[in-house]
Amino acid sequence: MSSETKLGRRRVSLGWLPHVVGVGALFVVLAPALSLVATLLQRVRLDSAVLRALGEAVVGSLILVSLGLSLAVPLGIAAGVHVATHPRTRLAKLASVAIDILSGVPSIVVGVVAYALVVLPTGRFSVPAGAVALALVAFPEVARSTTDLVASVPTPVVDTALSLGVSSWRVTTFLLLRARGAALVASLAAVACRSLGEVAPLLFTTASGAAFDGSLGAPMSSLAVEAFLSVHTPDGGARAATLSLFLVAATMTIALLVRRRAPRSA
Amino acid sequence: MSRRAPKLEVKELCASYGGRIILKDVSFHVDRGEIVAVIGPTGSGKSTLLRAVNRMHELSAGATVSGRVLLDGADVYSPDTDPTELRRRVGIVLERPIALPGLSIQRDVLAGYALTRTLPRAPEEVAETVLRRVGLWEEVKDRLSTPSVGLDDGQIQRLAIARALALRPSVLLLDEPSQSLDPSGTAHVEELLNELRSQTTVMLVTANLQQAARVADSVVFLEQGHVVEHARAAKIFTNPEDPRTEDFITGRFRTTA
Repeated sequence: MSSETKLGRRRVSLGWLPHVVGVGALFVVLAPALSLVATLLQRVRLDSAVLRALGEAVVGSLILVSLGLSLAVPLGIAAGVHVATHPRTRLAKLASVAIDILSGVPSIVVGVVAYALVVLPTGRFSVPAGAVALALVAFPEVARSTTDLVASVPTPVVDTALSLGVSSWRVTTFLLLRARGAALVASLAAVACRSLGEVAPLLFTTASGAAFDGSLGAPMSSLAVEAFLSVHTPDGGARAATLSLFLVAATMTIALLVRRRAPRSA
Repeated sequence: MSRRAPKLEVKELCASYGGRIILKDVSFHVDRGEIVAVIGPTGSGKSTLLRAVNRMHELSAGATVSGRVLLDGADVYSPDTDPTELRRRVGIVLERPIALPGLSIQRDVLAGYALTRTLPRAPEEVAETVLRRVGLWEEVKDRLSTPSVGLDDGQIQRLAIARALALRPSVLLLDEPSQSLDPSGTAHVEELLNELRSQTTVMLVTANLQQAARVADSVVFLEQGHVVEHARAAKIFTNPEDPRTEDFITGRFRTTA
């Protein structure tokens, strides 16, 4: 605890108070949850079948989220940059409206759309169908974050770069990668974490429960969907808790990686 | 004044921003290697004039430009002119220069190259040369890899000049280059301008009339977007033709708002 004397009166800094309150609140919220999870975990039979299902769910989540983001991130960044840098064009106005509408659509509706777009024509649940559903959920978030980040760069920074004979496209790339790189990585990580927890879009596109046959054209399990489906099994609560723990571990890993690896904003 | 092969000719240049006319039929010329100071009251269009010369003005939403700006006889506003290439030949140091976020001091000085991925043959030497020219080398030579945003205002001002010089522009536009500098920094900039004389054509916007008198070969006096007078610096500061010029340089200027 730090303190300082000013004008003869002793002034005590209360900078530590928010930390104590924060840790206390975290404990109050987490303690019962952890207790419940510990109780449920004691009931889990970690036999080979459970471990195999867990492994498939982890791999499935990674594949689905990776494919979904590989579609959503480039498209979202391109749309976000265009909306921020050319706001008066017809395309930008159209994109802006589309982003607003998509971001307000419930994810279960997105699942139905992906079902109509991919599952009905192909006649089966599949990984690409799930990836499209996740991409539709992630796209507006990536685009909106990008628009906000580009628009938040101070005009003098843009002017300075342009005054050096740098093209507008390179200026935007530079600004995104340098001036707002850390913030962009953080927002993409948040989108990845939310995608990991999506259930509704995947129920209509790639929901599993069956064993993974190694083909991307087949249904594939994922952590969130398996947690949802396992509730209805005999030891469902315990399995759901285990899968949820893996989800928490995955999102915490992403958050920690972003903190350690993200370039520092100046 | 000599009319032979001017480096820069501004002819009937008009500029507006958001419907407000800022420059009206501005015409003057700058000889090769000359330093021309642009003086005038606040809001007279000095900065807009600089930004119109290297086509920075048109980047602002709602900005319009008409008239001609001839660089070595070629109109910079012709469809054949690539504005990004023009801005490398006609460098500008903006009124409130900044350090570029995310770049080290050395990379910031070389930003004109780094951002276009065209580094010069010996980048460290180029950076050292221009940093020495602006009197910043001794202050930063031991921390070239640290972020440039850590520099103070005066250092950033000189860094911005170094950044523009690194591209070896044939015309350099300086908008209040001594604004954040102490007398020593100002002296460095004026030494640099004297050094640049005859190699580089310089347009200098300054509110410091003493500085204009010390370094400029000729002076353009702008008022409400019009050129009131353009003459040799000695004449402007000793025997101006227009009474408005005399009022301004003797401090009797009053806005007509």
